[in-house]
Amino acid sequence: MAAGKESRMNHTIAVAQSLVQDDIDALLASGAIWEFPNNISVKNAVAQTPEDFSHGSYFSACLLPTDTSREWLGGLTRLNCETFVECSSEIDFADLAPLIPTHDKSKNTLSVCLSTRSAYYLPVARKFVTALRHRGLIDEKIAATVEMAVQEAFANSLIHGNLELDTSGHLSMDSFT
Amino acid sequence: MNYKTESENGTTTVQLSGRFTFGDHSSFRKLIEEIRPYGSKTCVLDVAGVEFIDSAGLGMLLLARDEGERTNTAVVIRGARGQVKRMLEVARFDTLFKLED
Repeated sequence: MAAGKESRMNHTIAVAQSLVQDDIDALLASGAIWEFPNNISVKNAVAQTPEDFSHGSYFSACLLPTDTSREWLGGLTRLNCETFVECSSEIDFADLAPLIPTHDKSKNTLSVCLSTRSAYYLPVARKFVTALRHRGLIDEKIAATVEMAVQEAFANSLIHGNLELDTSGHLSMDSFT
Repeated sequence: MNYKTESENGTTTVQLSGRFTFGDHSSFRKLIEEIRPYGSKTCVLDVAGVEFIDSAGLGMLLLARDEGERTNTAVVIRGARGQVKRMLEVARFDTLFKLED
């Protein structure tokens, strides 16, 4: 990954062109991404697709379009960025906020925050693990095994957590309608 | 997950392809409803084209087996490879299905 993060107070965020500025401002002001948004100066880099962003530029965050597409999920491997957030009013950040802590000493992190709908329909685990591989955070040799583990953890949290689906007892096709 | 079906001489063959995960419940339900009217004695689920399966996908295969038991149809899984084969082995699906190469 390219070196050279911007200073703490000035940030450039990658933004999907389809997003409305009011929604972007509301997300930033909510404290979901930065704890003290008033102390942050943000510049938007806007593009239609992740491919349109400069490969070498670092982005403090990437705001994904509502009902994120597979193409935008590809930003996980395409962009020099560690925090990807779907700009959706359906997301309750709760104790996840702020996604970028003020005194962030952690390295080698990758955060992806999606609505339940997007998470259900997109191959999130696969893209996430591919991104970990591209960033050199896991070895190619174990990527397949990691993908299985991530897929199971992800599916369980989505189905039993977000969707509150109880599949204990006898399983039937009707349980999933 | 995508699928193609064909039925001949009392055997329905379903070729599955792509990824077979929790998001495929609607497709799988539709598939079961499509092949039920054939009334075949044997249903072959050809998974050679499936690149990845999770535990929800395994669960759907079990539901297919349950459906087969209700309709007196033997369900066979054919062509598992790579990660899919590994998952079937770990889950001891050889004790639950006839597995073919």
